[in-house]
Amino acid sequence: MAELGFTCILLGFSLSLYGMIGSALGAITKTSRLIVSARRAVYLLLLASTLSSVALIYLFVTNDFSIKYVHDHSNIVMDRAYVWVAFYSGNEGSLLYLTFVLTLVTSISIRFSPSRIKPILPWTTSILSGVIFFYFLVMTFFANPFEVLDKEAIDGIGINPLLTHPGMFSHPPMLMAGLIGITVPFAFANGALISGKYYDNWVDLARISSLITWGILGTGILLGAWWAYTILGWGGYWSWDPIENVAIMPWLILTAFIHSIMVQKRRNMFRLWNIVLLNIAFVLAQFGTFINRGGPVVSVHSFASSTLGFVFLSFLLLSLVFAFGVFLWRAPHLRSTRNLESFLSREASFLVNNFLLLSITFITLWGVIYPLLSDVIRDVSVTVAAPYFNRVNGPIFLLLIIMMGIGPLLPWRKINNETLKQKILIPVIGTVIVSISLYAFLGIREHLAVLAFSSTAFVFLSVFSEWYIGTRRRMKSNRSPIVAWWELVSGNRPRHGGYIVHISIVMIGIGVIGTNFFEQRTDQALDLNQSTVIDDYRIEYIGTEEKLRQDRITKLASLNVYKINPEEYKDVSHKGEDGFKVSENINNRNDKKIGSVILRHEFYPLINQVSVRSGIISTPIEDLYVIPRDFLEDGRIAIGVSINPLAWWIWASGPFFIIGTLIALWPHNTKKSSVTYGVTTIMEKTK
Amino acid sequence: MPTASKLLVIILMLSFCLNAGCVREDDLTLEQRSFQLSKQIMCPVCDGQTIDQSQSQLSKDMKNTIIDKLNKGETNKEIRDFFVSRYGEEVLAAPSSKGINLIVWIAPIGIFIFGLLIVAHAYKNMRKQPE
Repeated sequence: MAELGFTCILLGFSLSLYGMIGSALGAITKTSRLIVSARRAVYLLLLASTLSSVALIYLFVTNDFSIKYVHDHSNIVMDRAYVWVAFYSGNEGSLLYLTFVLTLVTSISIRFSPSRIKPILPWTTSILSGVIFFYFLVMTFFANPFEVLDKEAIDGIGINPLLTHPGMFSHPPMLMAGLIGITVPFAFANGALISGKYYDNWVDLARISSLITWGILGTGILLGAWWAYTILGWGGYWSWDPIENVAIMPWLILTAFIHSIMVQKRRNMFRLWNIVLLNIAFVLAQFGTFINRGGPVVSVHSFASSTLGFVFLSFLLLSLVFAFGVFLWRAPHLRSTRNLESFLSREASFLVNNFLLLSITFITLWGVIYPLLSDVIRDVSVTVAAPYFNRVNGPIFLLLIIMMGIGPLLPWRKINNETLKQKILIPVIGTVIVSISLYAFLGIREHLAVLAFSSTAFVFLSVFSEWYIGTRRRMKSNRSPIVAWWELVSGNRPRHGGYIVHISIVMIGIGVIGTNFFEQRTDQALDLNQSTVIDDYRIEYIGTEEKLRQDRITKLASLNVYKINPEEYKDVSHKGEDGFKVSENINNRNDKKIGSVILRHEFYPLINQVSVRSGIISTPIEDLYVIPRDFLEDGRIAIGVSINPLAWWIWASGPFFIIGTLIALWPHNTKKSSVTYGVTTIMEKTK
Repeated sequence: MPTASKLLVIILMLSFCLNAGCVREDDLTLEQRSFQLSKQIMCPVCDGQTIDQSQSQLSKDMKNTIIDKLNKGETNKEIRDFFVSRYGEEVLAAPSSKGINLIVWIAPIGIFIFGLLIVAHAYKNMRKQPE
């Protein structure tokens, strides 16, 4: 089976090389037989990568520890469900997974591309095949998943305990698929450039493929944050770790692209800029692969290996030179002819949106690179972590939220006073009311938090007021509100799908603001039946159970959670402290039990690693988060308790993000879109 | 609204945000300060985690050291300096703004302003072109 797996990799190596060279040669010499033959080779790549992946999964499921990769990432005693996904938990296997996804999206893109882009297809195929070739090359010579173990082994090392979490089934596959998927719009754009036939037809394909990959990548990132929150046990969800950063940078660039591509579709502007964006996104994705697998940074995520570092660095530089070169060669033919009529227009707001997104991206890139530079140039070690990124990016994210509110209110080309008054009045008034309420009724004194919350309110209000006006108009002929609203949304899917996505983003914003500004914490060591009180919660330590397994010692601590009236505890509280400890004999108080939590602490002696799982009680208002810090020798348990306000909203945003993206990319009837192409193609010819 | 005024508003808002983000030491309890400091100190033996995030024994010891020092009345700066003298500059989660590391903090402002200039330039160019 391992032989089959590796043979498929060799097959993939040869086929992708042929596909890359054959497509390009066929395009240059205009030999259609060569083009078709190369295309067929590329389709076969999907077969090769699928068979190879199946072989690897088979080796894991059958516990074949004679293969090094299987030995290093699984063992007999591990939870069986994770055996199926262990194959993408390490470097070699995840490269195979990436290759499988890339061959899949390549085949789909080529097979289902419309006939009007036929002239550019050979070049697009060549580029896609070239990237696939790179990955098969790496697996053949540097990172073979089917390498044989050089000794006898009846059991493996096991999977990293932090990975035995439900998130393992969705976060890595989606994240990796999202990153490799960027290759498709990149290949369409550069294929169009190289072919010299810059039909604007590739724009729609680039938009759809970018939206899909952007949606998958965004969901993957959100799942990663959820995983960090629920398994890593420090109560946070984003630490600006280098690996997290290299995933979000391409996502931010793609966000800029899916906005500015609308300007190209609508007004044929930003044509050069859109290609630059795709190039930057692709290069950043390669930078991510280099950082992740080449080992120059320390991170909980990295696969770290130094030989591979040079390989991925070379590919990164090659991509940069290729993209830059093609652009410089062909770009002069592409200047847009329309102009920007006013700064108070949607086009200009997309310009600002792009500026903000790129600022965050490059500032983040600087933060990732600076420690490497400092190490290499000055031989001085320096850390750049969460406090830095929060400080420098925070304000720009705030500006971005405000733009999310302003942008949709502005019409294309130019605003007139009537439109301004009609659209802007309700959102602005509503936002002012919200700001005053936050100060007056909730007693909030942090001005930055009020500003941030008000901005999110502004976005909600600007979307809802537009939906309200649009739905009302459609209800005139006795339709129900829901049907009317759905008709409104279906009538312009990119716009309204986008609005739903904006709502999901501000939901995340609400959660970020709540957890960053209003967190309450306390650390306590509790004896049996002792409790800690924080805000209006009492957490009582009930007992601990210990379980032994072949590879780990598990301690499970049970705690009851009560809602209390803080007034009743005034006599035992400590002045000014967030949390304090109380002992038993508290019968005369009106505590209401709302649930219990189980804290899990697992120690794996063979690999000297600890994995903890916190207890969380979550409501839309706040999360009660209990972390096991230590099981002390005297029987006490040391815990950390956090109240994370509004954290729920971050995860609740997920479904809205996905639904909004799906609506935005759902195709209209083709008749409508072909009119635009007719116009731009004629313009092209008459230049 | 003319471009220049719009840019000025953006910059003013930025500075407002940056200043308003600071929480002063004296407003916090000792426990809250210990959490604040834990988020600013890296665990020397872990992969890029702060001692707030890490479960390692060394992190726990360092957290206890922080609590002891806070009880003795040391300021946040004194405690941070103590760890730097022990473990070097890299134990801080974000570089201090003295010396050459100031460039870490200046560069983002530079990037932002550079971007603003490009936007202004692009806007002017796009206005000039004939229909």
